[in-house]
Amino acid sequence: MFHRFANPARFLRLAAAVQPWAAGATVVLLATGLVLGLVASPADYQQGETVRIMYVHVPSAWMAIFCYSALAGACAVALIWKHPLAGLAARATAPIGAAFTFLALVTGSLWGKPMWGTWWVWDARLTSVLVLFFLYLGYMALDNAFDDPGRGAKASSILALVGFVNVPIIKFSVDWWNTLHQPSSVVKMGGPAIHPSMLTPLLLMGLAFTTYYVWVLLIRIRREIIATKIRALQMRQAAGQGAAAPAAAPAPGEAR
Amino acid sequence: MSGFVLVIRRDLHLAFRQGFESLMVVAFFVIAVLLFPLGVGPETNILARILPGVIWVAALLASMLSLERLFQTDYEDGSLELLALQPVALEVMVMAKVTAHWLTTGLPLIVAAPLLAVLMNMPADGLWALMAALVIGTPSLSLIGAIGAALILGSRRGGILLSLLVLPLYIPVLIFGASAVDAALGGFSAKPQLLILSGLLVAALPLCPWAGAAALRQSME
Amino acid sequence: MDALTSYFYMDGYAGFIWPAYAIVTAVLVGLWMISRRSLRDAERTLDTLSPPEDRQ
Repeated sequence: MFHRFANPARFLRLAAAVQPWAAGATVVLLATGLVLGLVASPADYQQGETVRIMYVHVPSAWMAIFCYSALAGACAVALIWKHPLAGLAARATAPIGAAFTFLALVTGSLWGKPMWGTWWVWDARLTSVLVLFFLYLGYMALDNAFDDPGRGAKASSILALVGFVNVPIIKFSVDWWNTLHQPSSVVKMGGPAIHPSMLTPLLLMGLAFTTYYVWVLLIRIRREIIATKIRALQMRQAAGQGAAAPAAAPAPGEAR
Repeated sequence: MSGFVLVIRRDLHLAFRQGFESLMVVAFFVIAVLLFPLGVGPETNILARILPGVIWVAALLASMLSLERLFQTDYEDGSLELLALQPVALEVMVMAKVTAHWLTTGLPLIVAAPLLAVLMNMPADGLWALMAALVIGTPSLSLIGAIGAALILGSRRGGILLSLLVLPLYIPVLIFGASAVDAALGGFSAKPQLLILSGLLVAALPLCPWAGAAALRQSME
Repeated sequence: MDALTSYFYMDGYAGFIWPAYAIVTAVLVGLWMISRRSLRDAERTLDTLSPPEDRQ
């Protein structure tokens, strides 16, 4: 299935067609989610109004992990099958995942102060999410650290896969250790432990963040494909102008 | 096996010829730790409280200092490609370099640690846990660091980039290493933390040379 | 008007809730805008390097 999308021109057309739908879905889902979350849902009997931060904090955290898993998956495909778009998809995903991780940390801190009395605590869940944030930064730094973007992509792919051990640690940290952070209440055996009036806006916001991810991902992948074309054109022009020197053009298929 | 030993001997030979550099790493370790009494004040209570963490952070930083050069000189003068062409697997070569790194960095840190513990008035209960944790933990630092060292070959600003890549991956070793000493100082058994450190080492032993060799291979493409 | 004010007051937690939502909005909108501008710039550069009439 993926090989149909290996053709950049075809993918660009597909992306341009899908993007407006992702955009529209995001706006609709966000609007309904926000109205339900901020206005039409009750306050929590224990936490009061602060529970409303949950409607941005939890989806951000979900996306932080989801994006890293997508990143690691794309890197694996790029390294193993050398699918040309996989590397670009990975590079496009990283900043979005980093943004969601940052938001999870900040909104979590704003929720933690009224709920636990502290802006930060070094427990397993918070520490491993902070590590996740640094893994994203390291990935992006490594990706941009080489003059040859192909080399950067391969190196950062290895890093992304090595860092994936952090993801199960984040997920299970609240179960394995005594943490201040509360244990899973949505994805657990026996079904969600949240009242439907709160579960609905939570899921809507989760879906909204997901369609937002698809929306911005498509924009960024389109940009990466065009950037690749630009590099190829610039190299071809440079090789054409340096007529006396042997062409420095890369081997076919090398200029992704 | 002989290929492995040859690479170790070669790296140790080079290290001793630049023996000064290994001593500098240990000197950095000692100085970094000694900065804390000067900065924090000489109250023995406070020093004893922060000592496990301080020693471990200094060990991480000292380990990282010599990581940048792990593959750098071989990469620059072409010996890396020669090493890759040897009949011995590249993973074994990576393991050999990691061993040499530990022998010239981790081992001297382990030897220097008791001296520092005495200087900072650490109670004797903590010393055994500290030594055990360092013995189990420092090889993991060399192993994990080797992946970072291989990834940054040929990059711009390799040194700083290496720190950004490797320090997040070092955090579990830091947490459990310092926690082992804290437990012992508090009168509890440090065995759970030491077991986890051993688990980390056992996982790192096969995985890190494999990932490091993969990184080396694509640095040579 | 009082109902609206007391709504925004959020039982005293306004100082936590609204900044949280504001930061989320700022980051997500900002990321979208940056990505869009990056795409526009790339398309513009591509047009100068390889004018659309030359492409099939």
